[in-house]
Amino acid sequence: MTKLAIGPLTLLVPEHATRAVVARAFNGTEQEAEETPAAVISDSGLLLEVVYQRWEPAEPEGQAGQVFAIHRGDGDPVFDHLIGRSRIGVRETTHGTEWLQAEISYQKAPGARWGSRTTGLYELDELLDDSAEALLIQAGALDVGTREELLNETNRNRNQLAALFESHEPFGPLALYTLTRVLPIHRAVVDQ
Amino acid sequence: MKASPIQVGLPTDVSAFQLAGCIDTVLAAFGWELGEHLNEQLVAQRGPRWLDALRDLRRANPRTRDLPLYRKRFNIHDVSALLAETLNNSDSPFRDYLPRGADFYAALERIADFRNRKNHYEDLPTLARVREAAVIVGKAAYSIGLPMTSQCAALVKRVLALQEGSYAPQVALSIDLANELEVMRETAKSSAAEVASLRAEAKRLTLLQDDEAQARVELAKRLEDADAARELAQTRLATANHLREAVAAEERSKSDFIRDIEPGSAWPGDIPRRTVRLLANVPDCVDLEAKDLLSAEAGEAAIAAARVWQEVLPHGGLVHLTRAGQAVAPQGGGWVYLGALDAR
Repeated sequence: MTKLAIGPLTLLVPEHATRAVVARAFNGTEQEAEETPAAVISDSGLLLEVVYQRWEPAEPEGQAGQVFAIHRGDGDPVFDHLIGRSRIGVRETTHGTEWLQAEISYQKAPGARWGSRTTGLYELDELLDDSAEALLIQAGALDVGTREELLNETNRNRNQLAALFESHEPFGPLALYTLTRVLPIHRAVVDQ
Repeated sequence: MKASPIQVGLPTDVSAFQLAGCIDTVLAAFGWELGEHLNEQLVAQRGPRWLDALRDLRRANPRTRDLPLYRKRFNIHDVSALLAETLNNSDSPFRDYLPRGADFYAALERIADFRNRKNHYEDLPTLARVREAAVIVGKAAYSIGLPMTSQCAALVKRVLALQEGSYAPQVALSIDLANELEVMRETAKSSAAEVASLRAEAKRLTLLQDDEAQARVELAKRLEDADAARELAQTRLATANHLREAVAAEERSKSDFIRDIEPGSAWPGDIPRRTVRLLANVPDCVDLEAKDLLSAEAGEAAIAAARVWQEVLPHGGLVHLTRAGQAVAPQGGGWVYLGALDAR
């Protein structure tokens, strides 16, 4: 799949565009990675470029990759809040798949910097105005649920929403990023 | 009121085949929506048997009793029947639910006259005739408040674009294939929704820990089927996308290609009308009108070409594409040739 409508946004992921890069993990260490670039567009003129980076082994601390925005084109300057800052880590499971935590972009107060916080499917459904789980399944998610449901975690993060994907399949993680990080800003700023 | 199920056709060229079809769909959609509008009002005001009452009234009148219009079944979606009843009878109940004034009735007469001339082949189907149909029907539809008004406006716009030569198809892709792709995307979406709903049901059953073994087995089977349907939908979509690439490549190969020109040199031809947006970091272009990537239409050729074009336009930007896939961009007050999607 190369194209997916996510509310007013359209995610476009070219085939054959994956390239080798040196990625910088959360803790600053450099990793030789494969990078798949993509674009998120909307009728309002958004043309955001995002990437999915994946490396092996999963280091440091189980991080096997990341998804983040790299260029906002002529889109609203508010999307600068995403560039290089708002990243979702890609982590491996013990049975060869990968999972990403679903955290939603949010702003504490008008004018404040956009950050991210935990969310739930109900909130994503409302944001999307459709079933977020169905959208992620369409994008290739093997399962969507809490970390307890997906990973049998019993720690204090067990109630956080996550999605499980096949390893090295960029489309689903890019769809998750578009849904949770780009769409909330678009709804708040552009749709108003 | 529901909009007409007949979509007004927008011509992509000036063949008689397309233009005649456009004129027919304008008249058919107008008849359908006018009939629905009148029927809705008349049923509400006079009950469901209003049409029988009208027919009886006309059959009792020596002036109208032998007219074929009232001797056979009266089709409330037939534009000819609706206009004849309205225009030829000052006591027509239709008039109660239509705008008043001589201008409106003159417009209806023009539509009736247009329809008669068309049906008796008095005029050839030309762009001018299509425009006339869209304008006169569009004005009447607007006065009544019919949903098809916007379709008439779109048709006028398309005719103007064809007359000016400024119309370029969104992508070099057959309409049938584009429609088919859209249907396949919808199928993929609904099959994913079915899987999501069944997975939610399975989780609910697990949480309840009911002793519903049979229900669980049935649900597991349905989930398996839904997953298979989802995968099949995705596979079909991928196959259709590959077919689309092949069709687009063939259409490019049949289009005029300007030879003996090097990338970086001034473009000698007309400026192509189709524009795509070259991305800055992604080796691809976005067709903002089609909301799709150029690589969805041209495959790896688009990726390779975009990498070359980015050397000239490192921040991306608008690129104009010929039907043959030759790219041109404005630079330094002139137009520079960037290269082509396909080597020739």
